[in-house]
Amino acid sequence: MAGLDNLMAFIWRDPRANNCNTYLIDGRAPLLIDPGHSAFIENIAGRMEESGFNLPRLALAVCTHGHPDHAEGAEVLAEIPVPVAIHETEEPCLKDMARLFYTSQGQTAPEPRFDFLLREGDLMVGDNTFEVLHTPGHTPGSICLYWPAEKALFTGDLLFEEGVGRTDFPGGDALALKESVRRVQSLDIEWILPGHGEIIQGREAVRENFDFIGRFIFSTM
Amino acid sequence: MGEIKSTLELVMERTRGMVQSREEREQDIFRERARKAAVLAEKHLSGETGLAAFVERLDALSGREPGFDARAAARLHLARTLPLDGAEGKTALAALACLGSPHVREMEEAMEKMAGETEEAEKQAEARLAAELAGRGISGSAAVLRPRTDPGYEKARAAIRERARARIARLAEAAGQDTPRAGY
Ligand SMILES: [Zn+2]
Repeated sequence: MAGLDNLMAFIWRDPRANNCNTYLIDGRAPLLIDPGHSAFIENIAGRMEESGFNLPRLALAVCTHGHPDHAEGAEVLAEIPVPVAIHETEEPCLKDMARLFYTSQGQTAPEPRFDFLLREGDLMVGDNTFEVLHTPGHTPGSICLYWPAEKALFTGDLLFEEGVGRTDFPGGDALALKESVRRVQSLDIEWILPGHGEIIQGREAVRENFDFIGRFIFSTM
Repeated sequence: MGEIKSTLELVMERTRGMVQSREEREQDIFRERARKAAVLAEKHLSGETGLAAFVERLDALSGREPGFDARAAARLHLARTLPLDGAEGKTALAALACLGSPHVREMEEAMEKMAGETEEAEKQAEARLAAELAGRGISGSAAVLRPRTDPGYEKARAAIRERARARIARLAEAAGQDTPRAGY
């Protein structure tokens, strides 16, 4: 990708499966953001291999939140083993959410093990420094990862192109989500790398997207 | 052949049973009394009865059961089942002190030692985890390490508790037998 040389974006466009976008930042210590569903890890791994990357090289995987379409694959990564991290507020909620989600489908909830937790602050991964921002609303422990050097924001399910994350799941909070969107809006952003849908590129496009959300989406929440 | 008992063996067994039965009866009586003292101790630990009421009930039990030292039985129970940490541990130690156990200080020391060693093990595990992450190129204020879920820490903690438990168990046996200090 022009401007983000070390970033590989695996944008999930297959409408038959609700899977999230997965991002890989290659380098001295490769970082994966949102592994997605366990069932699709193989697909992602295959696409990575085409680019000459294999999963065991990963230094770390971060889940922006605990929904299975973002975090279920953590259990596959843990087997490799690759350390996986999630926000400290999310882990306890995750057990309850997973139980609800899986039992409603007649399945047993997996219990992903997170090697360490995240809170607001700096996260250095190899030569890259990220800011972990706690951005609740879609879930209580949702995070955005801000990459100041590239002016890039990984938003998880906080916001997308012309949309925001649902707040009708357990733990969802529309007011908190609005607050979180307003908070990240103040950052210097040239790239929005959302959990679903297309990447938003360019300062102007980013600004327009925040405007759109503020004017047309917030009023419906 | 070993499976089939001779008449003599059967008679010997039955006789032995009859001889033992009196001792067993006495043991049963003692066990039942000790159980009553233990129930009183548990009620105190759970907060159902205060210290003064607990001691009062123990003394009443001794009064009802001639030759039975309910305080000693309660000391033995409290020391044997001493919770190694938390508020219940403190309550048990205070009760032991009140019941005249001469080993309270040593038990406190064993628990303090255990707490200190556990804290040290946690610090070591945290340093180990931080070093592991640093080895992968990961660091920063956002990373919240979890030394308590580290298998190395869990193993060390179990060994520390085991040592403390063994030390307290030795003191517990003494606590049941020792003559209480005057003044309690
Ligand atoms: Zn989600």
